[in-house]
Amino acid sequence: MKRTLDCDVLVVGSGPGGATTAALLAEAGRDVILVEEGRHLPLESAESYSLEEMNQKYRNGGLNVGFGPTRLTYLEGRCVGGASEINAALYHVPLPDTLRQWSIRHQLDGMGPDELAPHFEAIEREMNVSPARDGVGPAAERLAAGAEALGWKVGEVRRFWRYTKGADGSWLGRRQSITETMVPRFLEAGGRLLAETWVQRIEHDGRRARAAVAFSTREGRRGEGTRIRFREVVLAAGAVQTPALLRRSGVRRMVGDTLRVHPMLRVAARFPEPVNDPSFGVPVHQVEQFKPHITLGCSHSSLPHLALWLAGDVDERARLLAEWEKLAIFYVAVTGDGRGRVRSLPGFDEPVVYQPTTGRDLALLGEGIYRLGELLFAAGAEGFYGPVEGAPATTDRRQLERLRTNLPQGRMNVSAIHLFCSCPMGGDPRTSAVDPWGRMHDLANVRIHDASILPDTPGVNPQGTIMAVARRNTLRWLEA
Amino acid sequence: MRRLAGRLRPRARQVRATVEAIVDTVIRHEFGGTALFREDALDWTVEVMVGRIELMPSFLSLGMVALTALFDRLAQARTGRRFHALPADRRAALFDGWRRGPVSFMRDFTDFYTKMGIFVYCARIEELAAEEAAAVPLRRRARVRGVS
Repeated sequence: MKRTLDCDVLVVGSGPGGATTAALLAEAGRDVILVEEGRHLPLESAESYSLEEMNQKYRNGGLNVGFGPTRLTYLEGRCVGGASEINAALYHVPLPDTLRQWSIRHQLDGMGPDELAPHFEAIEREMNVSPARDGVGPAAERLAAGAEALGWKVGEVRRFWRYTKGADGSWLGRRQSITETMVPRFLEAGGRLLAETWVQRIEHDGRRARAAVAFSTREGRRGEGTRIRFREVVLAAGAVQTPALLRRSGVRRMVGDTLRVHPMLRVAARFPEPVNDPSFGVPVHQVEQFKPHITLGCSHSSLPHLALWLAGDVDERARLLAEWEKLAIFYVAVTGDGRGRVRSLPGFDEPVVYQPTTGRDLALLGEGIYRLGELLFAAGAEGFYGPVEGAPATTDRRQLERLRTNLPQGRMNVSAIHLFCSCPMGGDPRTSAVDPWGRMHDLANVRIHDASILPDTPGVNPQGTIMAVARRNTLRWLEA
Repeated sequence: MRRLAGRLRPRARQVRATVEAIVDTVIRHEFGGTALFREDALDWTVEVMVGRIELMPSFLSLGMVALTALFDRLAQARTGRRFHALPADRRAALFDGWRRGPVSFMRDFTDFYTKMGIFVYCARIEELAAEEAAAVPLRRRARVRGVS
C-alpha cells in the first residue's frame, strides 16, 4: 500500500444513506472519511437522463444486467451523491401499514410510522421536499385524467426540489440532491471526502473489522492503493455493492442472498395529439389506487428513451418516432417477491446478480399492465407498444386481457431502479444480517446504512426511507 | 493467450469494424429513407457503442466482444465473407435472420445492438438538432448584418 490513513469512522459510499450518516457524525465531532468510487461532479455536469450523464454518473454507463429467467436491467449511481444525482428526485414515505408490518415481522424496535416521523420530517426540511410549482406537463395530466375517469386515487408526488421566487413573481425550481445538501454539510463540518476511490475489501478477524483496502479509480483504471484504518465502519454502497464488498471480504452469512427489487415494465403510449413536452422533465403523478404492490406512473420521454422503450413492432419504430411528440412512456412497478443473489467472481471487480421472477411477480406485473392499459385508454390513448418484445401495439381490451394473464417471461424487458434487502435488518440473527439499528450481527464495529438493510420492499421510491433510517440509526449511535 | 486477449478488446481493429458494420446495418434498417436518418450521426454512434462495451462489467464486456467476433466469423461460414466485409443488403438479411432466429443468445446479441444503437443514435440526432436550432438565429443575424 502506498499510504495509510486513520479515522474514527470510515463511511463507504456517498449516496443518501452514507452521506446522511457522514454529515451527522462529522457534525458531532467525529473524524470521518467518506469514500466514493465515482467522481465528485456538480449536479449540472450533464443534462438529466442524457448519454453524457450515463457515462459520468451511472455504474457501467447504465449497463447492468441481472441474470435469471426474465431479462432484467438495473441502474445504480456511481458518483458522489449516488443515486440521488441521477434519479427523478421523487420523495415518498412508505405507507404506515408497510412500516407496521416491517416492525412486527422483522422484530424492529423504533421503526413504526410514529417513531420514524421526526426523521422523515428532518429529511424533508434538509432536502427541501416540495410539490411542483411550475406545472406538471401534459403526460402527467393524461395520467391523472385517465385515473380520475376511472375513479382511481391519483396524486402528485412531492420532490426534492427547492423553489425561489423570481423578480417577476414566477417560481424558479432547482432539483436537490446529496451533492447540494448533505455533502456540503459534511465538508463544512471538517469531514474528509475521498472520491474516485474503490474499496476492495474490509480486513477483519471474524469479530471486528480493522481497516479497508482501497484503490484509486482515476482515469478508469485501478491505481494507487490506500489502507484506511478505523474504529468503526459504515457500509453504504447500495444493495448490490455493499453485499459484494462484504462477500469479497469473506463475510457471507445472510449477505447477498435476499436481494429484492421493484420490477418495472415500460410501455410507449400513442395519443392522437401531442402529449410529450420534455421541458417539464420527469412527470410527477402516480396512481395510488393499487399501492403499495402496484404503482402506475409516467417517465422521462425524450426521443432516445422513446427509441429504447418502443419495444413493440420494431418495423414501425421510425414511423412512430417521426411523431415523437404524440408518444410518452408510462410504467408499472410492483413489489417484487423473488430473492436475488449477489456474488463476487474471482478475478473480476464487478459482482454478478441473479434475480428470479416468481409467479406472484408475473401475476402482479400482468395485473399492473392491465390496469395501466385501462388507464391509457381512458385517457384517450390510441394504443401502446411494449412491454413484450416484438409484439404489435395493444389497441383493444381483448389484447389487454391476454397481457393480463399471459405475459411471456422470456420476452419482456424488465428493469429495476429500486433495489434493496440484500443485507436485511431484523431482531433475529438467523434471518438478518444487521440488528434493528444497522449493526452487523457478525462484526461488532461494522454498520450498514443503505437500501441493503430494508427488510422488505417498500413499494415506493426508497430514497426518503434510506435517509430517514440512516438518520435514526446514526442519532441512536451518537446517543450511546 | 496474450494475443487472443489483445484481439478481444472492443477497440481491436476487427471488433471495431464489426461494431461499425452492425451499427450501420441497424440504423439504415431502422431509419434509412426517413426524416430521422442522418449520415453524419453514424460515426459518433459507432464510437459511443465501442465505448459502451468498454464500460460494461468486464465479464459482460468480454462476452460481448467474443460474440461480436463470433458473429463476424459466422457470416464467413455462411457466405464466404466476414460480416463487416459484406455488402449492405447481405448484412441486413443476415442480421435480421439472427434477430428473428431460434438461438436465444444471438437474439439477445442483436437486441443489444439494436436497442443501444438506436438509443445512442437518437441521442446524437437530438444533439445535432439542438445545435442547429441554436445556430439558426446566429446565421439569420449574420445575414441581416450583411444586407444592412
